[in-house]
Amino acid sequence: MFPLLDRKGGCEVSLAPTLLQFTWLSPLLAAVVLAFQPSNKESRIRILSALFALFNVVATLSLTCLFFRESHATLPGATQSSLAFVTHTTWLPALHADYFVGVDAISLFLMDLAALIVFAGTLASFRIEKRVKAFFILLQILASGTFGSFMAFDLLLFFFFNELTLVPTFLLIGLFGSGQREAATMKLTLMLMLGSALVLLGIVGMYVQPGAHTFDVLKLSQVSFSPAFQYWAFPAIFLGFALLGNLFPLHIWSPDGHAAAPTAISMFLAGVHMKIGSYGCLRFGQYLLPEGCHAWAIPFALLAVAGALWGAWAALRQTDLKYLNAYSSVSHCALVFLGLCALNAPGMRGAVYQMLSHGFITATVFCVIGFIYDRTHSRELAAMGGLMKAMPFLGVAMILGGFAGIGLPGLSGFAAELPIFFGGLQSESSAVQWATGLALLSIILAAVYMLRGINRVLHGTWKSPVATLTDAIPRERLALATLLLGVFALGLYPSPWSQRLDDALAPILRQLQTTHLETKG
Amino acid sequence: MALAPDILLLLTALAVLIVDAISGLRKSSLPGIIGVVGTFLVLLVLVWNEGVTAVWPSYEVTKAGFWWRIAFVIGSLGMQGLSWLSSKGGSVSDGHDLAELGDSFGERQGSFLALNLFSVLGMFILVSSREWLTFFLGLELATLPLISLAAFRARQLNGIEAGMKLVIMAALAMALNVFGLSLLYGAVGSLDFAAANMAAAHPTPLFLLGGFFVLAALLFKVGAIPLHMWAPDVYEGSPYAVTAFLAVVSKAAGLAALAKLFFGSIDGIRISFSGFFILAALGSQFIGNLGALRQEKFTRFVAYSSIAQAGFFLLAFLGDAKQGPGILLFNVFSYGLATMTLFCFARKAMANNGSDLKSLEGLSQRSPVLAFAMAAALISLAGIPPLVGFMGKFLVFQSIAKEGHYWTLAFSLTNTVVSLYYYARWVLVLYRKPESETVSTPTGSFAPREIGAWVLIATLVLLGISPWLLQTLIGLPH
Repeated sequence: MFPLLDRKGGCEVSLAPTLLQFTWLSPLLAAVVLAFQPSNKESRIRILSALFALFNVVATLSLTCLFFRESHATLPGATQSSLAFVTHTTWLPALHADYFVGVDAISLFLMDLAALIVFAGTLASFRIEKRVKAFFILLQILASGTFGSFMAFDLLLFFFFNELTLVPTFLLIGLFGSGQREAATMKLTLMLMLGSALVLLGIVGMYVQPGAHTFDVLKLSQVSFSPAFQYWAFPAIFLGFALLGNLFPLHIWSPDGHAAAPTAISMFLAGVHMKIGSYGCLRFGQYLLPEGCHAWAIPFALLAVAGALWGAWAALRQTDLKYLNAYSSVSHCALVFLGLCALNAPGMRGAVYQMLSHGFITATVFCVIGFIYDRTHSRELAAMGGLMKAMPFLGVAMILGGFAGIGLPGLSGFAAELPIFFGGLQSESSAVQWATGLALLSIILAAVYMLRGINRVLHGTWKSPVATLTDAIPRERLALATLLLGVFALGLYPSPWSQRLDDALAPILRQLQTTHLETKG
Repeated sequence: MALAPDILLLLTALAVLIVDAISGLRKSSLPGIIGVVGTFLVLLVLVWNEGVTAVWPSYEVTKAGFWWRIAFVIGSLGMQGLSWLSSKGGSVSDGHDLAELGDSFGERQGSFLALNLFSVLGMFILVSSREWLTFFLGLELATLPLISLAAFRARQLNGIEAGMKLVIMAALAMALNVFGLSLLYGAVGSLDFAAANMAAAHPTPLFLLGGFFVLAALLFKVGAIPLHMWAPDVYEGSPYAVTAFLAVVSKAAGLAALAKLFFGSIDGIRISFSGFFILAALGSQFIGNLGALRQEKFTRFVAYSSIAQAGFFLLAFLGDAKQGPGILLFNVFSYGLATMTLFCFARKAMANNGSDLKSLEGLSQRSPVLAFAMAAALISLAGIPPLVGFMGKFLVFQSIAKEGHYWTLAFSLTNTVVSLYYYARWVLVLYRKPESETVSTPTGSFAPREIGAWVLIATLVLLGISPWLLQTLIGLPH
């Protein structure tokens, strides 16, 4: 405890960087520990993985506390010092690739999101009966890759971590899913791999440009890539990540994938995994290739608006609860991209805020849907009704999640979407302004599909006797409370988060504005 | 001293042959033991002699040659292990008469081993040659024993087919090779590589034509288009161990020969052939992927996958000559390791002595460790980090991007995505539950075979993330 905070007294020893490594190492350790448990000791496996997930929650939250403390003392100005808890050692000298991890506000908050969702997802998966051991091992590996992705500041290292999530996702959906799970997981995996291939094209392209020959993100941000290169490399990287981040029309893998996946994986995919995509767009696309970003911002903003409307419209027409929420995710994730393409401070802050907020919201809703499915064995809207009476806790959680998705003030959705629309309307391009106006319609549609869904599920009458249905048990309540904590924390008191995000976004915006002025001048 | 490994290998091969002849038709394990011990000794002497270089008029021992030799010897050991595994595993566990299948070599084990060792000796000569005749001698010594090895299941129809196909294609390739060499000789007027090297700087049309035919002949050895079509049938008809040797070591020898020429003696004309390399590389990736996509038979699957992989290796010839050989070697090690892992466990893994996709179903229940090892190998072949296969592909990709071949890069990245489909399909089958629910107790995690599996898994991961092999091979002086 004490060495963590010891910054005075001449002793520069700090455990914080080590703790940061542990966020990706401990899930791997957990996977190894679980692998050595006998597979019939199922409850032990469940509890162990929940404990490991809890450890990561504690670790990331304490790092966040520390981060808030530190930033007060040293105001981040230059690009270098805005990273905290840095570890930098050589890894592959022949390729100039380093093991370089650290966090800024964006990374750290996303890691908080990941830790909370993994914890809630673990709690929500206690009902899995078959191959319990394999499930939790794969879930832990998935978590490890995700934590690593958010903290890596070396492109090759990032790619390693990002791909580490691919195989567990593939197996988790293919083995533990429902419905057309093999087709869905194949589609999802191939689409994600296509995204990775596009990203790799961009990464390799950047690496071989004159003056680059490094994977260090901070160093690459100092390299001035030729405009001709940026014009093709930016869309490759951006679309590659946007595929993972669910941008229309590259989102086609996600509804089927979400619907086929087991509850925890739906929560994780929509809540965290997709965020690696939008995070990558911001960190590795827009930050490193600002000129390409300026050239392509308008088409991508239009795609985002199309996605926001298409997702909302498609959600209106769904009869399966999971599909409904999956399409609502398409719509909400599109707003992230709209914010990113606004290329100004409020828009980008809103985008990152929306990543966090949508993560919590969609995980809450998927979690509730999973719990309802466990009880009713149905996800069909037509078969539902009157569940509020039988399970008030789940009902309230669903209403809160739904309302947060609509953008009710006081919940996280509002605090995220407002700056996005401000940013869009303040954009320099009138096309983006008009498009933002159109995107506002998606809020109205969101209200329609969310209220329709909530109404069908919770109100009216349940066809079979209500007595067989029970409300959430304490473990499930804890899972939902964890997620709703995020929704409220982001919604009720946005200013500290926003402020840190502004600090972290400053270098990216500066990068974008400098090139913009140069091109104009 | 520099020649010690080569001489020792020759002696081992001869000893196996003689002992086999003396022991007659009595089934004796002595040749096998001599073979394994001898090959181990060769490996030891090789490692002992690391860094030793020597030059004679027609023969040389180089630092790059060292790593190729290591690859060949390890491959040969792998094959000997496989032939031992398949002769043992078959007769004991499933009660099928494997002699009928031709996978048990019975009394012919000695000649089987000797042929293998002579082939490896040919590869040694190949990577050490300094002039065209030695090169040709090495190449043919490496290829000819393989033909009889491929036809070892001569009592089976597809065994005969395998031998026949290989002999015809090998003869065609040999003819092309000789023709190309004669043109080169005609253009240069000397058999020496040094003379060819000078001529390659300003190639005449005759020289280019000669180079073209030699390249075409070597594409047969690598198993790339347009001379790839023998692979699926030969792989299917040959004994397992031979298939593994063909898929890994023989392919590696082809790559070594290509590297010897196009990164070395006739490096000057590599750029002129870049269009041809792109065509062969992308074509192989495409054809290989197409064939593997819905393939149900294990050996044919490996054949198509290896054609596609050869396509990735050939891309390295678009990069620069300084890194090229190291990148090729890295890929040979990563591909060889993964493919050998597949072969090691395939026989044991397939239920009911089957040989197709379906018989792998539910392996994760029968033996979780074997399923994990095979999945790791498949994922490594697909090129997904942190396994070693990714690094190999990445090295190739960055080397061709440096030369500005972005379209080629994009096309092969697309092919990587396609290849993931079939590798993932096989991984899913390993973990899927079989339709007919048979209750079987899973083998323990620490039986001898399982320990081997753990070692292979660890190697696949460690080579992928640790800098050791990469640092050693990249920037290797050629």
